[in-house]
Amino acid sequence: MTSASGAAIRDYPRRVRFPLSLLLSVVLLAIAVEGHLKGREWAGEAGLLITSMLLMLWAGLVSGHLKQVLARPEGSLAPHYGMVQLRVALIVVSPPLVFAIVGALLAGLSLVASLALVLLVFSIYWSWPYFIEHGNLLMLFGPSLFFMVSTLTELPREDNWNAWLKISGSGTAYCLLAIVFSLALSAFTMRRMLRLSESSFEYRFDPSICWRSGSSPDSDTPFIALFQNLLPWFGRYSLQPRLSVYRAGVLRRIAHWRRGMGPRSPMVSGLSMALLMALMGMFFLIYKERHSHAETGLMFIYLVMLPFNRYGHSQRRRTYLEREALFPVARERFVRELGYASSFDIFSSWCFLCLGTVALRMLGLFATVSWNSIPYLFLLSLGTTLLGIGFSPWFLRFNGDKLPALILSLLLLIVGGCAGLALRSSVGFSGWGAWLSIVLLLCGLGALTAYLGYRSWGKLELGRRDLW
Amino acid sequence: MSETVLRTQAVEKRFGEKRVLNGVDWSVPRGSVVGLLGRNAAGKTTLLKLALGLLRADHGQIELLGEDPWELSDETKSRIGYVPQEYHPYPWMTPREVLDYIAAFYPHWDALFIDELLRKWELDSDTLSKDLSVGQRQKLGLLAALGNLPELLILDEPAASLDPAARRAFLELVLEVVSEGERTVIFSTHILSDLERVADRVAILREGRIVYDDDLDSLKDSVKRMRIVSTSELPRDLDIPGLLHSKVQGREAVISVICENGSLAKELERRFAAQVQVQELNLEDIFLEMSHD
Repeated sequence: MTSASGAAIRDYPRRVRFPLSLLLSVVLLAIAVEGHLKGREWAGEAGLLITSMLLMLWAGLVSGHLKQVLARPEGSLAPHYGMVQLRVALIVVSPPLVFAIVGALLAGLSLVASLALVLLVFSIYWSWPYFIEHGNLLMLFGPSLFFMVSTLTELPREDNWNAWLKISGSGTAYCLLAIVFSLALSAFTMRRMLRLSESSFEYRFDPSICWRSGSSPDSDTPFIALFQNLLPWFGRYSLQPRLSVYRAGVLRRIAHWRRGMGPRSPMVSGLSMALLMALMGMFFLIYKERHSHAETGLMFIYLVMLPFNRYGHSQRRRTYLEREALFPVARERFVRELGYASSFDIFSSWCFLCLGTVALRMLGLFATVSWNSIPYLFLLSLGTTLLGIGFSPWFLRFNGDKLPALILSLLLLIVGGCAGLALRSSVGFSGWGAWLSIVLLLCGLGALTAYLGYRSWGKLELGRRDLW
Repeated sequence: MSETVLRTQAVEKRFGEKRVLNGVDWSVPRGSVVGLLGRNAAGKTTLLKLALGLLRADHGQIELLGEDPWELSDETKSRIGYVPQEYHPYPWMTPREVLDYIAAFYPHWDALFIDELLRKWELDSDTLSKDLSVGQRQKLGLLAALGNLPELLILDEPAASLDPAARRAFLELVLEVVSEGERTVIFSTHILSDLERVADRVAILREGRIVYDDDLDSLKDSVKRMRIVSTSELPRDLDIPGLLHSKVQGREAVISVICENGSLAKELERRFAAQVQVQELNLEDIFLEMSHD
């Protein structure tokens, strides 16, 4: 092994995320093995969950690291740099990958499904210009959590779950399509990645620059970056508000609203949501949906997508708030702009989510989901979202830091998920009173924490008592 | 071995609708310290990136150390050093780790030289790179570019983001390094004091072309401002060879011109039946005249 390869390998343990992930993997595996040896009922399900988590974890981490080290001038100018990095990444990712695939096969998963899962996740990460952000991490755990919720709540205990997991013919076709798509996307991105200039690095790969300048704040919105990478002209037509363009009137007013949300329009976020829903829908097909299983899955999508997107926007909006707080602007303006932005934002997301659900249902996915469950799901996601936005000021001290944001996002999902599951099993999708009560409770908590949080932040961080 | 380290011929580059470089012909002789001068957004960074193969030209030919920069061999890569405008080291590494990491990719890395500079430049080698100041990061970038003892060192406005004191200190470091060995240095800047301090040759980029490429002293000697006072009305179009800029008002004109020879003033006196006053220009005035639209 050359000294260059040695240096590249030694770089992995230097980053905390790799030892931590290794530790997490070992712990998870130990739990699964212990359960299996003692014949626990949940051990098989946990095996599936752990396998998918490990696959995604390593695919995400290694591809993220790889992008960071390649997208630099050294990537083009240092001898052998790119090939050494790729070779070492392959070495690092191979043992957990092989282990996970073997584990998946032993657990009864189809090989083609395992490969599709790995490649799809890897290509998404790989093609994502921005590396680890809280959204990225959520993407990492989101599908895993989806499997966990759907598996643990809906798995028919009397059946052999291996049979339940058998892949259907159409599922195989989807998997093969996913593999081809992933390979093509990865190859395309790799070609670009190896030729990236240092200006690209500055603009696209430094999260602190993204956050602080607000010039490319889409790092928290999944798939937008993927679009940007796939379609270079995408950014040009992304409805970025340039206030000078909008001379007056309604357009200028809308531009002001959108400014509060960051440069990208919620329509783009909506498109990204629709794509993510389609991907999740694909997983439904692969794993053969059942009636109640589909409903739970849809609920999970609603729980993930709205809080996820809105939380991202609220964090972005905070950046604007922080910047504008330096100017002598009345607090009413802040409140008004943030209010407009939030309403517009959530409404548009809700529209896209509804449209996505209808489209998927017409395509045959979620065909067993009742129409009248959708408003309830939206209510729940709205409550969870507002709760999340409410808590976000408490994390302002860690602005730009992914870990608190991740923890908050996960807490939200757990709270929202528990509330939703409890409501569905107790009152179903017909008890308006119970659902509204829960939502109002979540919104009330969100409003209270938002008030206290922003006040505390304004006072402590900005030294302004008049902000709230 | 070629005496020209970089040669560009009719190089063009567009970004969307915007044409940044419009037929650049330029050559850099071995062993020279060349300042690439141009106003903001003149295309200096683009030209340097094209030269390094970090961008691809739309048209034209580029030769860097005898090779196409887009297809540089590993052997040639090991002879080049590059410091970008803002160096972003690996944020999870300390400067020492950054240098060790980069060193591993080069067959000839002078660790002793780098260690000495690391101590001399008082770079905090135990702090994570992401916590370094801008000045410290630039120093680290220069160290990372120097360790392989490059024949060609390319610096893209390396001191632009530094304050005057830090910039002076940084350029002194560059000078110190440049003075050792037969090294070709190309650096872009729009700060003329930097240029005067370091460069022995200057290339001026204007409207996407190299409009001047010669010794710094020749530049100072050749560019003059002349005040022409004629006995009769002067034509709007003076048609003077090497004319950079002119302002004609009736019988008077003020021109800036590149004098190919010392007899231009006398020629103008004869041609326009006028008195001609020649004014020497400092580098800043020369730059302003040459980059005048």
